[in-house]
Amino acid sequence: MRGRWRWLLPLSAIPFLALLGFGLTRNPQFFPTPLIGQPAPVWTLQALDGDSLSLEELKDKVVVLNFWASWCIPCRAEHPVLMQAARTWPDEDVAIIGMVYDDTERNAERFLARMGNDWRHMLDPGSRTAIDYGVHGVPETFFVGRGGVVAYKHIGPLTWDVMKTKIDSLLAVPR
Amino acid sequence: MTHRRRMRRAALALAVAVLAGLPGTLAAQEPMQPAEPDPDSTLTDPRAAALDAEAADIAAQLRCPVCSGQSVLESNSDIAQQMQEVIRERLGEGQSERQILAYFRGSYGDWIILTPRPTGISLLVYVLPALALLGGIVWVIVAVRRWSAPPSAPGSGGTEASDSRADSDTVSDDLSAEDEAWLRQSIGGS
Amino acid sequence: MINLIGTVAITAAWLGAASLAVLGLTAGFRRSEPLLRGAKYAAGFVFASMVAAVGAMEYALLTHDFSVEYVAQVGSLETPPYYTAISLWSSLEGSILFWGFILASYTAVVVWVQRRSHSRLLPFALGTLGVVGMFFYGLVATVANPFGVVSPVPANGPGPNPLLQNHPLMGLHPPLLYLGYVGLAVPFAFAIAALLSGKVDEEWIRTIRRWTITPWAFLSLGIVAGAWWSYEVLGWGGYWAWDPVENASFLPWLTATAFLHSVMVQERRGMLKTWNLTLIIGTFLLSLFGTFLTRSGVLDSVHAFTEGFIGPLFLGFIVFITLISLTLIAWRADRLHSPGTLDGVVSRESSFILNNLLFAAFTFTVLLGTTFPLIIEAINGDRISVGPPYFNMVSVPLGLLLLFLMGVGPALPWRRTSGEKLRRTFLPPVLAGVAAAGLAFVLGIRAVYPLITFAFAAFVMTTIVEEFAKGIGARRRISNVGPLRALGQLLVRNNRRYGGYIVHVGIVVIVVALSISGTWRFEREATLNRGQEMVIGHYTLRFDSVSAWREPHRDVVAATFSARRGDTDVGTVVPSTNFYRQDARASEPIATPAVRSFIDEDLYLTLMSFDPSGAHATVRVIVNPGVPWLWIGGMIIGLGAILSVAPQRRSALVRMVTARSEGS
Repeated sequence: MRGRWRWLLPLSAIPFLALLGFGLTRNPQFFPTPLIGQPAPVWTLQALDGDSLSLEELKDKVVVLNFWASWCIPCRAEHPVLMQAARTWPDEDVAIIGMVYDDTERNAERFLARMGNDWRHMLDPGSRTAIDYGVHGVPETFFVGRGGVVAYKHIGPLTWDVMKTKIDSLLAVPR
Repeated sequence: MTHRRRMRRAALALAVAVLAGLPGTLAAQEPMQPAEPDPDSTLTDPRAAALDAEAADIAAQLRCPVCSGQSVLESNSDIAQQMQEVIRERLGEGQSERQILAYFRGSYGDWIILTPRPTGISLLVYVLPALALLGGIVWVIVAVRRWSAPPSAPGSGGTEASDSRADSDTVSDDLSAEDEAWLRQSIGGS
Repeated sequence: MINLIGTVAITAAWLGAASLAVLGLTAGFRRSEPLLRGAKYAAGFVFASMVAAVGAMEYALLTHDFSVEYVAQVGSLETPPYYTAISLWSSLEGSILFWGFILASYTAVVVWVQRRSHSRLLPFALGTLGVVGMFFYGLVATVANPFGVVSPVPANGPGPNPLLQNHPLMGLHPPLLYLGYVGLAVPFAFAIAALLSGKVDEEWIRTIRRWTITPWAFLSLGIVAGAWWSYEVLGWGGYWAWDPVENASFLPWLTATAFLHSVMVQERRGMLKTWNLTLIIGTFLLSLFGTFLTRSGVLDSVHAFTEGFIGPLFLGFIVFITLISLTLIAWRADRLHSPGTLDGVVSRESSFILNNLLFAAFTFTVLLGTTFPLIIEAINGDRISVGPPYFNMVSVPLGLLLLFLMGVGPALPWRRTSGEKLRRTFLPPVLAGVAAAGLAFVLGIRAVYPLITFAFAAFVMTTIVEEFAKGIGARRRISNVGPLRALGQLLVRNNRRYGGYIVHVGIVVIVVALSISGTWRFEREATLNRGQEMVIGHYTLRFDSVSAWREPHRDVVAATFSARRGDTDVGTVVPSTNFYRQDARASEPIATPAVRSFIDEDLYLTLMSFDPSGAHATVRVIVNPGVPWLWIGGMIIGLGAILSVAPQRRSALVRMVTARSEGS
């Protein structure tokens, strides 16, 4: 390698190093979901208390679908936020629905007995609904607008900030 | 045969070998670890056995969402088993492989498919290695050309000796390269 | 107390490394003997400090001193002593400390081995090792300090990650890998030395070859050990997942292997100097890249430790080292260029050049595939996967071409050959290859890749046997001894070459085993009641019972299966699920497979679920043909590498001449 071509060697390393730098700025655990802007996948499931519920029944409300499990530590951290949300918005406007993910009925009930329960929790046998929503870990929460379209997916434990901002923005959309 | 012609033939042979390899490469798209249908399976329904193989094939192309890089077929996790159930169910309903993969793609995004799609920007991951290999071949040919001495160059420092060395290669190779170099230095003073 | 000793030791190591860097580089530029001596003392000081640091940490671990931060992180009173001892490298801070220890050891070994040498290269090399050391010891002393103080002192700790205490191989895989990764810093240092001093000659080649084979051997063994660990622990029946961190260990192996071959061309013909320098520097850069990947969370992997501050610092160091070393090459490129000549297109030189081309293409492809998700995300934010199907697709053809070349290269003479000689040399191997493929075909094998693999494998083995035969024949002509004695003499006198051939044999064994296990593996999952049997392949398995017992650090639930192979009873196979009792982090159980090895295949059982009363159990059974030969092949490579590294005895002729010339 002679002449000016030799400087190509160190120069060619720069894009690669920049790429690694970029890599440091993102979290490999966070995935964009193809469901944003799409109609939320429909489901009809049985709740922990035995009643059945389908997504269609909630079509005029803002729906918060929160996938959780009793064995999930961050779910414990976000539980108070959901409790607060259940208290803040009336049930006719905002429906908070817990989706039990990869867990047994007994463990879920025990968790709720300990942490508090103010909204409905659906059982998802075979994780069909979780797979429909592309869930790959808990907690994950989907915010669905009044038209049944998925507006936002939050990965990881919810914060009150996120909760309030997203719900307020969805409520602001006229019926 | 002249030196040039020999080189050209070598280059041609190499190119043919590489090109012959390409279709084979593209054909080998299926995963290298298919779980073959159990030869001693107690299943008597041939359609069920065929379904198992096809389900395994699809599962091998899907990435397990909670593992690090394992396929749905390999993983022991709950979600992987459940996804296998979904695959079997949909195959039973008559869906095609493409439809099933499209369903998972619709829920999880392109990430769930272990092989990048050969369309758009992702095509680069297939094209660039081929280009690199071909580019490398071209570079090597050019370099070998530059390095190849003109035939029968006289007095190029002991070509005679090296020829005879080449003939009795094994015996003199007995001397390690270091010893050879040291000897040449201390005896020949070169 | 230990905290203090450890922190002082690691700080001392950093200071020593700084001195080493300054003294070494200055000694090189000023050609100063006393400064070089100072550098050697600094290297010894660094080694002693790191021994103290690691010693302190091991002491703290084994005495369960929970006032030390790292021990509070990975220690536990219940963990068995062996796993406590090896937990040194089970988590981030400890692993960097271990990395630094190995670097210090290698530096000390370099000083010791080269103690009588008056090389221009040594001071620069030591200086470079000092610079590298400054980064790693600096990390340990500051951001990744395992010796932090924990107050109040906890009564107990969580123990290491359960996956890392589930199999004794965890005591082998990381040390071997580190001995490889870190060891590559030495040839790197000598390469930098060559660039700084401008001296790229025979002495450089000899030095760098010796210092590359050893880490190469460790890296090879480390990769095989990692595959074995993955197979025995992770329960999916596979051994290589093209996980980003696995790839990151494979990349420097590819370039190091290429280097070991192309450096022989430089040795004989004085060519490829720039290429070789770039190759060996690139190898260490890839090794750093691998170390970085494990600790920065850049790519999602089963190996990822934690992120945080370490990532950016590491990247900064990589940027520094990369730009400096590549700029040095570019700067010296003119001086390095040597007009080399090739006498023949069909010669060992050209086959090595082709081999390098293939290795380079292989490296590029694996690197591209590994970083491609990152590239795509940088371009348009999409998240895609590049997984095993892609890597298998590209690596199989390249691997087969390399396999074929492995048979061609060593059988070709240097410089040039004649058509007649070619025919004589290659007729038997080609016939053997065709025969092997034909035999396989007759036996019913129709899959294309295995057929090609068998053909090439037979081809390569025949050329290797031919080489041994030629060598034995030549030896006998010289010294008139029996064939066995001649073989012994070959292995001793010409260990570099024949050790290399043995390594090739190991590679052939591994490639064939890969082909067999990839193509004919099959599995079955079944739920069995107590006493019920299942059939898979020629095995019959009967579920006997479920048993549970308590160990200090875990609860084990095991299911016992009686196995029969054909009509022969082969005893019991006991897969289990291990529940590690720690804090919430590890409430999930670790399914531990049971592997029963036969000479031709493995019977691999994973317990998927069980009924606590023992009424039934669900088991996943995989029959893995060829897998035992992967580990055997790895051992053969190790043996060949050991033989190759041993110092070569000078032949009688050279000893005689040496004696004469020294006498005069």
